[in-house]
Order: sequence, then C-alpha cells, then structure tokens
Amino acid sequence: MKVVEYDSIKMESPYIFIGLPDVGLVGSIAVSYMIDSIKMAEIGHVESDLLPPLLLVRNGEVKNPIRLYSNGSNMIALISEMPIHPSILQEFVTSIAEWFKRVNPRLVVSITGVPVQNRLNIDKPKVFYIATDEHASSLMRSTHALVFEEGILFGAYAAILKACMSRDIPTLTLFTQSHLNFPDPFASIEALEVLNKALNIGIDLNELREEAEMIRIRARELMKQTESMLAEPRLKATPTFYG
Amino acid sequence: MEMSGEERKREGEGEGRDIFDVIEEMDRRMRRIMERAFSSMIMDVDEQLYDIERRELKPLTQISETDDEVIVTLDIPCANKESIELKATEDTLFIRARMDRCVTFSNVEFENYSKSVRLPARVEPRYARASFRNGILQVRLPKKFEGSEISIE
Repeated sequence: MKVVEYDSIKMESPYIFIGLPDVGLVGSIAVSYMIDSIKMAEIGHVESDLLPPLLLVRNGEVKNPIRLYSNGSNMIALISEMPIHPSILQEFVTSIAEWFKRVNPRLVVSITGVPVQNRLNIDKPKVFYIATDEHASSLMRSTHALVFEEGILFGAYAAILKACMSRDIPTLTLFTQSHLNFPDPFASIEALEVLNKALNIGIDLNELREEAEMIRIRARELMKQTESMLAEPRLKATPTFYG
Repeated sequence: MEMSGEERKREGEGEGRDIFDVIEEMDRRMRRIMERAFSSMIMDVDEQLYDIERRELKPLTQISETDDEVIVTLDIPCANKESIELKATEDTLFIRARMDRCVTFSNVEFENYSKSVRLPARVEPRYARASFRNGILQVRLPKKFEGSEISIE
C-alpha cells in the first residue's frame, strides 16, 4: 500500500486531519465538510492491490476512495469513502504513518465518535480527547473538550494512534458522543467547534447545521457499509461518557 | 475454509498435475476468498436501503432489547412527523412516513420511508409507545410474558 502524491508535497510541519468511516461517521462528515468549506485541493490518494476494485464517480469525474487534500499552506486532510476492512487495516495504517513521518506534521488530528446509548436525549454532545504531546494538550486546555480518562480503544483510530506513537508523531484524537450506527453530523459540528477554538481555523459551521438532515440521508450507504465493522467490541466507555 | 465437493475431488487428483496447475488453482481459490470477503464488505447494501420500484427509502435501524422491552430506533431524517404511520403485530413493526422534500439518488426520486422490522421477541403491540425527535423515531414495545410461574419449594 502506498500514498500517491500528484505533486511532491512541501509543507512546513502541517496539521493532518483524519476522517475515516467509524462510529456515527463523525470523522468522515467533519473532515469532508472541512475540505469543502475551506476549499482544499486534492493532492493524492492511497493505492494498493489489497483495496477492493472500487472507484467513485462524482460529477463525471473518477475518484479514488481514500484521498488526501491540502489547503496549500499548513493543513492536510485524509478521508476514506469506504470503511477500512480489519483485514487490511494494519497495512493501511503502517503505510500512512510512514508517509506522515516523511511529511513531519506538527500534529495528526483524528476525529471520531464514542457511542452513547442515550444520544437521543443529549442536545450538546461532549467532546473527549487523547493528546500524546504537550502542544496538543495545551491546545485542548483552551477549549471545553474533556480528557478521555479511561477506556479501551479499538479499530482504525486506535491503530493510527498506535502507529503514530511508535514513530514519535504527535497526535490528538477527538471522541465526540454520538450515535453508533446513524450518521451524526451534530457530533461532527461539536468536534469542529473544538478545532475552531483550538487551532483558529475558522470553519463556518452554519451550512453543516442547515444541511445536517440531507447529509444524514446521503451518508446512509457509507454508514451501512461501516456498520458491520462496528459490531465487534470496540470501545468500552466508562460512565463518564453518559449524560 | 469451506470447500465444495468438486473442489475436494480435484484436491485428490493433485499428484497428477504439474506445479503450475497447483499454483493456478491456489491463486483462483485465493481470489474467490478475497472476492467473497470484499463483496460482503461493499455490496450487501442496496436492497436494504432502497426500494427503487416503490421509490421508498428503507431507514437505518437499530434494534435492542432489555429484560422487558424491545426498542426499535429508526433514523428518518426529513420525515414529516404528522405523516408517520406505525403499526405493530406481536412480531413485526411496520413504519411508513413521508419526507418533507424529494431526495434523488441515481436519478430516482424518493419521497417516503417504509420498513417492516422483524422483532427479536414477541411483544404486546397495544402497549407500545413511540417518540420522535430530531428525525429519529424510537418505539418501545413491551415483551409479551408467555411463561408460567415456578414456585420454590
């Protein structure tokens, strides 16, 4: 598996944002909105014989399912429009972590959800974080995000965290309370609000709020594909996450 | 790994073939396994999410159970609350709802949700309760008690 760059990327310690299909598609929705909202350009994709022969067609244009974007200065975004199957997860994570190492990011920011049973009754989902370096922790202290105190991580984001840690790549992982297998754009909004505050990236969230219902309908298919991978025991949340 | 009778028979003939046949066979088998793994990964979607003929979306659904209830949660964004029709029998919940707008997928316009949900336990449909909030419908159906008392001697 390898990262194909369209032009070789020269950026001074960028922030890398990751949105993979997972709990409530919180990361997928947040990062693809970020890409649209600040008009990032596609700079590459992930290629491998291990990936299913799948291409997407958007407005007559052929797209790879796992793509990289950049704002040209200090932000890179990685999104996947297909769930990363557990059988290829390790391979995938190793190759992107190697690529990250070369790009030498200031911080890798992963965005995902933490499923809560009573999500229906929560108006403002809480955001929890795990930071692996002091810079990320201090960024988070300026926000209302809470430290993820205790629990078990499982799945794609856990693998990324592990791969980055072993290569000394600083990471920040955001976990927003969300639905498990319903797309949850309102959880994505909370995560982006935290990032707006911490990194001053000024993403206008109004359109995401207005379009939330349509996004939920459009994201049904990806949610369904992702669902089977969420069935395994993944993240055992402590009572902190409730209410 | 499962193997069909035919495959097993061919396996037995293995000694008579040259190494290239064996490799080719292994390659074919590997591909079949990969195809199977990936088809379950990307394909088993459409039937459950759309009824193209009837132009209906099948909502994403979550079914859970407590000791005395079956809880069915359906994601129906853009559904019009007044239009929601809910019916239940002892073992099936049926829902139908109109959307407040038309949604187009692959040049087909959808305006309704509909789904019948097979329940994991027998319920008392008369005592079911439902709530609708932020485009999510939750139906709680009390389980039917069908046992007899056991006394402790």
